Amino acid sequence: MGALIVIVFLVLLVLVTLLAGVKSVPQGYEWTQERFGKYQRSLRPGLNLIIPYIDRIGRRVNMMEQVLDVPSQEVITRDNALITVDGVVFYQVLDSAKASYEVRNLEQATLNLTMTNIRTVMGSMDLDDLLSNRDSINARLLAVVDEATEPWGVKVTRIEVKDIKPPADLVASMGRQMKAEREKRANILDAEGFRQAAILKAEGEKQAEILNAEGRRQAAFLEAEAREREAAAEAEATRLVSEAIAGGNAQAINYFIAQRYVDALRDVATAPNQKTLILPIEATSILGSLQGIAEVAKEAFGGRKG
Amino acid sequence: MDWLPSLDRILPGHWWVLGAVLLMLELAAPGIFFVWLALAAFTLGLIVFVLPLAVPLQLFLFAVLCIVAVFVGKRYVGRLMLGGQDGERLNTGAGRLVGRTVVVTAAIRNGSGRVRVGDSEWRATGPDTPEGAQVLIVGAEGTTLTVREISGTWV
Repeated sequence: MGALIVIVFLVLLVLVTLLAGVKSVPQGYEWTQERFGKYQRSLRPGLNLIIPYIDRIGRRVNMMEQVLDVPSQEVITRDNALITVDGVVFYQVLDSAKASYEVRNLEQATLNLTMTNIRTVMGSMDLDDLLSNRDSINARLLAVVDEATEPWGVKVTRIEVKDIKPPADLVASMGRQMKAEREKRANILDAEGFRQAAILKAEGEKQAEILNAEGRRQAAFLEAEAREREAAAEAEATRLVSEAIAGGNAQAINYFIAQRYVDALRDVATAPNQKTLILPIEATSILGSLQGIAEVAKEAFGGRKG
Repeated sequence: MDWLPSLDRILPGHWWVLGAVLLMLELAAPGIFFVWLALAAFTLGLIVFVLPLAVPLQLFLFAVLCIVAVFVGKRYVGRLMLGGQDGERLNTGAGRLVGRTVVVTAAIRNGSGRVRVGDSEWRATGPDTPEGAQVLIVGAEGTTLTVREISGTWV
């Protein structure tokens, strides 16, 4: 019976020992094996046997790429703007031993390193550069943090600045600046339009004036020509009359004039206004005219006598 | 109550039932541990079925068989895992980059510089190389890549 109890305990011992010695590591992890507390090796995923009682599992290290959220923090830029920044860090443990034993709290260490470096990088830049140069910020952060975490067997694959929040009043001024910029452009365009329009109008008026003047000049030319023509015709007519006179007798003209004179007198006499009778005042002129008539008569009859 | 196992009478059936229970436990709590015990229990059931042994001897045999099962199983599983190489593609760290051609972003001087892999930069060690040169990754040690110059390629 005693032997039986011993045997039962033996079986239990074997079971417990096996339980301690058989280790199956899941994919995506590496477990460190410590012999008497000293690091021995890393157990790869799959079935592993360790020696119970002298070996034990130290750390269970996640070998997958992990994401760390960098909490919001306030940073003062070089031009004294107080901004709120947060971000993400992607990192992967490549050396489970270093990650376990070279650093005490890997996640916290990485996080603090990133946060301080975000301050360093952003504190050395102006706000405008910050908002427009995220790529270079990420690159600088990555270079620094990756270099610093290298002794811990960690590869930082990516650091991204997520959100850069300037204070609300600054955002408002940015909006105002934007609006003013747009309005300035609109005003300039307006003025440009007015200027163009005025120029075009003036051009049109100038053209109209020129055309007007052209027209007047043309008309004057034509008028002068017409007057010239008229004068020429008159001269011609005069010439013809004088030629006719030269060819004939001067008394013929006198006869014509006298006839007209008498006709005129008759017209005056028979005018509806009976109260006026215009007669030549100068007797001499009447006499003259009579003499003219006499001479005409003399010419006419005397010619027959002589 | 004569079907229950006691300290002076254990039947093969008892071992088989124990094996089945252990297998179920393995499914409920995977850890590749109970499966060996189940294996041992089944084997012992067979042995007892062929030649009935005293209870203490059976228990002792069970303990021995458990140890044997683990070592045999380890071997067998090792062969199983060699058969399926798919797991080797995962979490191999920097080893997965071996064979890729990359560009040096910070000149390698005194055996230390940086190269651009994908959208990230890695520390690299190798012969002195100017910035912009193309190099071939030939090995990886932790987070540092070992690179070799590709002769005559200047970007």
